Amino acid sequence: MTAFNALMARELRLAIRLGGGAMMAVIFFLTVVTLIPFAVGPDLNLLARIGPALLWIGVLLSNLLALDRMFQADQEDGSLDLMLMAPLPMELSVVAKVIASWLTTGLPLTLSAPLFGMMLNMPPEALGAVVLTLLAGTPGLTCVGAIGAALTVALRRGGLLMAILVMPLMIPILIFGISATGAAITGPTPFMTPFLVLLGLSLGAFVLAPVAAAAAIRFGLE
Amino acid sequence: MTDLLAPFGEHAGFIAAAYAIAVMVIAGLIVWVRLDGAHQLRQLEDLERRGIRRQAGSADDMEDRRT
Amino acid sequence: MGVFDFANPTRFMNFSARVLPWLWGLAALVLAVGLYMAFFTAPQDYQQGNTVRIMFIHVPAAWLAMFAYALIATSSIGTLVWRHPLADVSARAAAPIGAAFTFLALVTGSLWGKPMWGTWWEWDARLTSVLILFLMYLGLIALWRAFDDPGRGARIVAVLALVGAVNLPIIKFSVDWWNTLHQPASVFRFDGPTIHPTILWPLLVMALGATLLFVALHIAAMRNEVLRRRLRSMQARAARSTIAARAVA
Repeated sequence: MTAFNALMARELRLAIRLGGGAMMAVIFFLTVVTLIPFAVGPDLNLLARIGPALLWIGVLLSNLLALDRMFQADQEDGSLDLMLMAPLPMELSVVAKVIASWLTTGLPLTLSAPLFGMMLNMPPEALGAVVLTLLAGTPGLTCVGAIGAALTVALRRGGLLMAILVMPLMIPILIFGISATGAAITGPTPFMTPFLVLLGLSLGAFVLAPVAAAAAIRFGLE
Repeated sequence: MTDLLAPFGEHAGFIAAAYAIAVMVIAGLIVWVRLDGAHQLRQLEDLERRGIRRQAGSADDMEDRRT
Repeated sequence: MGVFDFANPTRFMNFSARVLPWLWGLAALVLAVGLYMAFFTAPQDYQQGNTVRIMFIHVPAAWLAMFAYALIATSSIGTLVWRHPLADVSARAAAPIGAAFTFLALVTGSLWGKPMWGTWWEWDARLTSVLILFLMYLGLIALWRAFDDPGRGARIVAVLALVGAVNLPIIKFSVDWWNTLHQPASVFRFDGPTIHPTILWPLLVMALGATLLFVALHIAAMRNEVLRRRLRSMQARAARSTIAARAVA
């Protein structure tokens, strides 16, 4: 088993075991979706109209929660130093962590979105569009989140600062995710244009994030 | 006061506010830079008085005082 | 390369001490000329009346907001690629000044917007992008301050600055896209087909004066940062010698 696979297997095992990182993100997502109607009112038409936005923001916030555990735990027990010294390049270690993180938070969030969307009275086309855009966008969110997590890894109470740093990076993904969803539901813009940009953003983040995150971790830990 | 601003028409308040805020922000920046500098110099002088040098016996601490 | 002549902090301090008073003076002079032109030679705009005079602050402030970030990004490259000793000093000094000008751009934009669009805030592409830029400045400053040791934080903040630099055109593109989808009822463009020379010249002079002011502030802040670090290392040495003395006694 290659080092990369071993690392990824470790991450997956930890995420599934450690107090259920995956479940916690989904439960937080549910909490956010539950809170909104109390604030906005139970008007089903309104909720259906802003449904895609609520789901996207819920996913964004839930992602922020999960990011804290991406590097922090390893930094505290010294595993991060080991990863830096390992023959596997740090960039690839970050890739393994990002993939594992997405599989255990981004993906469950995406799959649970239609269920919560039904609570918001969203029509089926909207649900489908949201799932597709989330599928394309959540990898990007995990990647830019990894950059933020890596920048604050050397700090002890870096959680809130990390969220502030990551937010501008997430905005383009949010914009195009919502835009694609809206295009699928109402048009007139074609769905493909913003959707392809969204895919491009996620791919770009997937390339940039390991480089930036690995650099930040190296600088933070020496 | 308003007749002073009369030539600027009905939006005089906005123009005045914009320039006033600009003056305050720029003045604030200048004050910050000056005060910070004075603070650092004062502390450096204090250390020097106590005999701490940058390098052992370095005399170019005196240069720091030039503004 | 000229830049590396000032890699030595002492030489930078000497050079900047000589240059700074001239910079302040020149900035004041150019700004005075610009203000005179802004109020006495520029006519009322046929669309906006006198509020166009706010533009003479708003546009230079917005220009400097972006210039400052470009400066920080360039300094960050200097930190990461060439390990230029003063690069991170430059970046750290520039951040609060850039944030202040960004704030000024937002506030004057808002004060210009109220009489023009009837609202204090407008989610148009420009204001929104500048707001995000402001948040990015605050993030840089916050990250700087989170590290006790400026040396360690320097390279991490440089990474953030460069990631942000990559993000900025993406943000601009995204917000423009988002804005075309949600076109506001009345779209105002101040830089319409042409800017009349009587408005363009005061604008350019104010922009020049503001830039000189920025450079003066930046150099002064860099000097403070160099002093701050000297102070830090001297205090560390003082503490060490005190501990050593006590250990012997």
